[in-house]
Amino acid sequence: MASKSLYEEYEGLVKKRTLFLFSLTLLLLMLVMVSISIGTLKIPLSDVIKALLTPLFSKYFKSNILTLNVIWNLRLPRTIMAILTGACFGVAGCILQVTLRNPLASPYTIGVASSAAFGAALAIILGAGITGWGGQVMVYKNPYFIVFNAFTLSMICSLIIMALSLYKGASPGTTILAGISMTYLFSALTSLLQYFGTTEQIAAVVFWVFGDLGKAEWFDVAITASILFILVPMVFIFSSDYNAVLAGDETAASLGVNVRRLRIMSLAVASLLTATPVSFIGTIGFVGLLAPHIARMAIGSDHRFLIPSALLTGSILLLAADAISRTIVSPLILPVGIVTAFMGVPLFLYLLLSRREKYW
Amino acid sequence: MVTLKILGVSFNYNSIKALENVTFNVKAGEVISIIGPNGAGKTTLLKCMAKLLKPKHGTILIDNRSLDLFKRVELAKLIGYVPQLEETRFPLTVFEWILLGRKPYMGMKPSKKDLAIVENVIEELKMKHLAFRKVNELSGGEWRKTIVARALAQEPKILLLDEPTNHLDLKHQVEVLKLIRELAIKKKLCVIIATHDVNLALRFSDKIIVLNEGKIVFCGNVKLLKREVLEKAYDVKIEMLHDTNRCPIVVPKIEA
Repeated sequence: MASKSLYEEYEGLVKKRTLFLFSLTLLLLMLVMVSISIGTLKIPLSDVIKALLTPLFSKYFKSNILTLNVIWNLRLPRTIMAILTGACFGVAGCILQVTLRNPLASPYTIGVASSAAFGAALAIILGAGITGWGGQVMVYKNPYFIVFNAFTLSMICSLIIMALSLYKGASPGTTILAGISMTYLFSALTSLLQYFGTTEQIAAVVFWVFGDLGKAEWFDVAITASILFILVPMVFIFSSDYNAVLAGDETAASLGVNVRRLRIMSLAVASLLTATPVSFIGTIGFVGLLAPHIARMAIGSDHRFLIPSALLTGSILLLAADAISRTIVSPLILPVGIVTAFMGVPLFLYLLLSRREKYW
Repeated sequence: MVTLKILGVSFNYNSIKALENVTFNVKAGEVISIIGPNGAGKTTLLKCMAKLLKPKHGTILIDNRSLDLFKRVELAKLIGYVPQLEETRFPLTVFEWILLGRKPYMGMKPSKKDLAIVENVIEELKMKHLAFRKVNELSGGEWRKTIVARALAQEPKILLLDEPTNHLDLKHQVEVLKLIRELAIKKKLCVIIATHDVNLALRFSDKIIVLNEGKIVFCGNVKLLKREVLEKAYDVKIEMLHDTNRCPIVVPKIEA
């Protein structure tokens, strides 16, 4: 021990963390294979690999049409959407927890869930949308009517939160309080709408709110992926700024960080990262709260490693939850949001209680 | 060689006056301690100098250039600031915490030089055994030293220390202040310390500033400090002794 210089020890730490990220990636890839093979129709792993390669190398691989269809049209978009959504939530939760300096912060702290739900309810119950009054027909004519509505409303909500927060100097406390009050406001608005809706409409709203990855299509995957691939590198560049914010606003400022700008940027990025998948598939809880914590327990708070590991942890959590939701009472598929809570909470409590050292 | 000038600085918190027409100069290699009762404006003054607060009137000049004209990152390379209180929800290791001081110099990744500087500071402060401990598992004194170490890793020209010896035991108080003094001379730093520990301030500073109700009531060499000034500022009877170097020692008189 004594012979090792601090420099070497730090390099060792960096290596260990890189290795951890690498193993998370491996775990995720394995989960992807498993997730594609299991379900109501069980597909052996070898067939999965064959079917994945068939469209690319049709000369060398042959698969039957059913397998190809199930994999390319059902399992694959669902699986990739789970990965992307988990990643979005993991990163959003991570940057919100650090900039709001609150371990309870999650993507839903900034009101995205309730405002998106209100947007969906508006579309479902009133047939009203940002694109105008389409009446009930609109909902059926255009499947993206609800999606668009949910997204727009959550953007409006996060703009209000950002404005309120900026008005009061963008402190963590005001931001959280603004988020909570907007959450209550939009929940109340949704309840109000439901009060006037028919039983079927209310049921539709409730089902929309349960996150359901089965809704995912290739278009949704493409949009979510582009949001993720644009925003995550942008956030990652600021990882040393996030580290500085760990020491408080004043210290961060004295280290040359523009804390207000970082906080507002993080709010904007987190709300985009959350609102996009939520608009497509509904709200899925706990992943955005738990993934950063689990990652932090494993790897520490250096955001250079924490951001990618929160991303991967989010993906793994959601993918695993989805696999369970499709198999546990097969052929029935449970909404994945229920499974994330049932799976995530015990896991989190186990990690929290089993560690001897103080965590926060 | 850096110079620091504080010219007629006033600051209000809403209607409450915190600083009134504060003026003094700091030369490179000088250690100045600001003492005064609670609420005298010590912390406010340091925050104005760190550009964390903007003075209502007056200016602060670094090398005859106004603080307003410096960019944040530029200042971060010039000024190391140790706040009175620092706490964190999500702990890093001591090494990483001190590495934060290299933030103004690095991009995303710390360079070899950054790591070497951090290692150096840790060795100078004799904290090697703590280096990979989480900061929330430190004692109050170790935590304080970590924060001072971060400011040193910043390699600033100006050090602003708000209660740097808070929570430190006698040995570590002396150790930290001695190091800061040595660095001030060796690297020609301007050091400004706000403290409640009058005797430590008298022992380790070239100049003393006594603040009371936001105004400077004394500014000058330690040896010139009069008992009456302190008695008035702190509103307590004081006995002033002198050590062998003619450095004053202050003891409050307690009436039985």
